[in-house]
Amino acid sequence: MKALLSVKDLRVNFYTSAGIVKAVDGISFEIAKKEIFALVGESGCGKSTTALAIMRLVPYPGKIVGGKILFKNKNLLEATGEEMTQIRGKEISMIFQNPLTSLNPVYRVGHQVAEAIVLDNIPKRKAWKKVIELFKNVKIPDAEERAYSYPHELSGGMRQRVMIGMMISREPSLIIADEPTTALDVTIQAQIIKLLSELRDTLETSILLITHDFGVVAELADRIAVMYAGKIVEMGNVYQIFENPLHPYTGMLIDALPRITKKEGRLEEIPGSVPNLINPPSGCRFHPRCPLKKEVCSTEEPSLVEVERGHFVACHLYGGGKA
Amino acid sequence: MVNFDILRSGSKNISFKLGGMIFLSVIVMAIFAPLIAPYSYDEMHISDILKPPSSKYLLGTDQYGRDIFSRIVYGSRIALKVGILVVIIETVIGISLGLLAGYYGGKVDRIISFITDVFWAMPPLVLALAVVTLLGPGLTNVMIAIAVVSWAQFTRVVRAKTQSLKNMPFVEAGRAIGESDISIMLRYILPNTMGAIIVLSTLALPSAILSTTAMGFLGLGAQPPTPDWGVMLSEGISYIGTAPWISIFPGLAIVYTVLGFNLLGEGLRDILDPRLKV
Repeated sequence: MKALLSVKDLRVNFYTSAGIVKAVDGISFEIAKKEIFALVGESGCGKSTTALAIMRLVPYPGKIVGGKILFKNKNLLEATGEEMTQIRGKEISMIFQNPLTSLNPVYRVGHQVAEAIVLDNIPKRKAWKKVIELFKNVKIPDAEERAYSYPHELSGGMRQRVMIGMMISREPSLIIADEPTTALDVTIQAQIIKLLSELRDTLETSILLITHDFGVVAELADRIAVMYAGKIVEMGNVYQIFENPLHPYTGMLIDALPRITKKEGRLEEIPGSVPNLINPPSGCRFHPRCPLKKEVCSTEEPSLVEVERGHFVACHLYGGGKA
Repeated sequence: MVNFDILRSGSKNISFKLGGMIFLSVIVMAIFAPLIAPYSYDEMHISDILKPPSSKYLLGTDQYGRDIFSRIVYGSRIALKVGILVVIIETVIGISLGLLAGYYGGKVDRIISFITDVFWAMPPLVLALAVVTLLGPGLTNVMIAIAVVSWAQFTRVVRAKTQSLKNMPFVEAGRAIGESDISIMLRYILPNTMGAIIVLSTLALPSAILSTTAMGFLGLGAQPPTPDWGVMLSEGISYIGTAPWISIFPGLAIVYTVLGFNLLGEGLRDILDPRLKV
């Protein structure tokens, strides 16, 4: 399995007036061709920042301060602005969280997608035909007519389909989907998830899925990395993570999922909140909220170790103390 | 965003309706000037100098026996031409600087904002006077002078809009699909600032007309016998006691036009503003 994208020891800092926020603090992972890889975690754990770092679109005052992002064996952190413009859209594209505001309100949606296709030096008329074809691919009914709609005339689900159509229009080899279903209602979520997994098969793209929703992950992902406070705490394939979650945080996240089978009682929650990243807790960053913490947890930081084939965890319970 | 809804809600907005009617009447007057004016603007009727308004000379004649009404009608051409050209120059300078400053931020922004603030701080008419003195009197130089001193408001508005727009998800999406900076500025940000620019332009138009007439009045703008309203106003000053119509009617023409354009601009702002959700 050869990696399409390989992130090595990526570090992103935000320089705020209150101090330096280490939003992404040395994470590494790989995504293979045709693989759907999920980054899961709470709000503010650095998953979206990781995605933006791969696109080299980290907003000010954020800065990538270390690591490597190898895409097709090329380090994106060394690419020039011009090269990145070539890579964005053509090689890597990104689906955003909020389809309500991700489309330019002043253009017809078809026109907007056509603009993206024209970037590949395809003549306008041909581009328009391709737009219709794309809209059919992403299951937009009455594609010919819908292409003439303005974004505000479409529902959230339709807009997200347009967005997906736009992002696959230049046939990228990697799609980053940043919370693609968060703003949508549940039935539409299911359709979008199905659409994404079909696209993976038809277009042979890899997908980096960013979400806090374990339900979506279970449906879609091949492999999962769980992020906490800027670090990956556990990584493995979907069966390893769901059937045998090792890190206490992962276990608690999965337990926090609402279940239909459970008849009554409160929803499970994880006590406490995400730590302040300007001054993160010492040792394991999860220890203030961890029910299984030991003495060593507050002093030493655990490193990511492979406990079974392809299943990594950073926790002192599994001998991660050799940091 | 400019669509027929605007016209529909415009029909309910009094100042838009009134301003629009005045605007249209000035445009019609300018376009059909030769048909509307009974005489040419520089035709002298030596036997009929300083005649009060009558059926022959609708608004009277001046000291050379020229028909005031005809001169006012032709004058609308100059007012409109100057106003529109000045606004075009202002918007081009203002929009490009505003986009650059807002989009790139940092050092670029600081430099452009400083220049803008400097121009903003100076009294426009005084600065325009200085520029005209430098370039020499004449209508073209006056237009350049007025544009040079009043683009700052466009830069400020466009810069602020750009700053708020550049972080919108759809702009980020544009970057994610591989659009270059230029095309993001021109195709993603600029069209979304159009509402504000249209309003600002309609409000800049009357002030440009007012400034040109002021320069004309001071003898720095259009030169006689051009029927510039400002020039006419100043020519009539010496006869204000005996033949007030020479000054009063061009003055009313200025008031009419400027008031109309201002009403139109305000009306447009009221109509467009609730729609500017970004």
